[in-house]
Amino acid sequence: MTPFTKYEVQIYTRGAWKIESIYDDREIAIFEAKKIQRGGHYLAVRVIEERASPLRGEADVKIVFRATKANEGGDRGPYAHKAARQEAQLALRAMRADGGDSEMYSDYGEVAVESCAGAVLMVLGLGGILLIGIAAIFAIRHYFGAL
Amino acid sequence: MVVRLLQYWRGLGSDIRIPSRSGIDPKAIPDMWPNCAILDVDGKETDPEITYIGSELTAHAGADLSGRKLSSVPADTLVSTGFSYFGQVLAKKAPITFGGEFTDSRGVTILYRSIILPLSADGTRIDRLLAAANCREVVSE
Repeated sequence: MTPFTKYEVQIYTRGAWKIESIYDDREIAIFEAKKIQRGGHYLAVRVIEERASPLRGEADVKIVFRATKANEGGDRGPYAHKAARQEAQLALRAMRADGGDSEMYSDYGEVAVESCAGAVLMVLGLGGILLIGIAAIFAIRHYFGAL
Repeated sequence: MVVRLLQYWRGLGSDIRIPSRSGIDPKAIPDMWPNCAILDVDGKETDPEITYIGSELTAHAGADLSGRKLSSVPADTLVSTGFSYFGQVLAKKAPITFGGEFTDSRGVTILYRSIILPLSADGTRIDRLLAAANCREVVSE
């Protein structure tokens, strides 16, 4: 017997969405999706609700859960490298293009801004340390030169 | 059981490779194996053949269904009802779990949950299905 409403857990892998498993229970589907997300093997995971409409002969489809792992670990995380970041952004774009209701949505774009700000602060900090060092060298040379 | 079997199946393959029948080790799933069945769909996509059926499923069916076509199993049994959506697994190439209820030959309402997982010798083309189901009687007040 096929239920009227099905929930497809989909993973974003190798540049495309792939069906991972199908359930007749929303809670189990979202639970499994979160488990997959925690596993960290995939850039994104979502749950599609497919509600059959026998009168119209087609199904109503909407996203009931979605998440990316792109922000995990920040600058030192698994998505800090350029290629991984690009793929994560592709997954995010694919999610945005699909629309739907979202209960959870990790936006990689915000993380990218944070990463950029962190990098600028680090460069400024290193620059400051360098300037202090140079100033110290000049001060020592000036002091010993004066003696 | 359904979630644990799915977890076991996931551990045998990858996102691009479907696990194979030879990878299934009954000793690794001793508590679930009696509720499992293996369906041969190689060239039998519309009517699979039951190549293995666990003792629990046999007990529910009241007969050994090994070697029988799924279509020949009586409609009011756990095997027939619980595995009726095998075609969707072949179409979607992904595990599916559904639950529901049916009335058996004694007129008793049975609540069940089943799962069907694809298997493939070459990692891509599905040639077997690992199916499992459990159930309980609904006690009327």
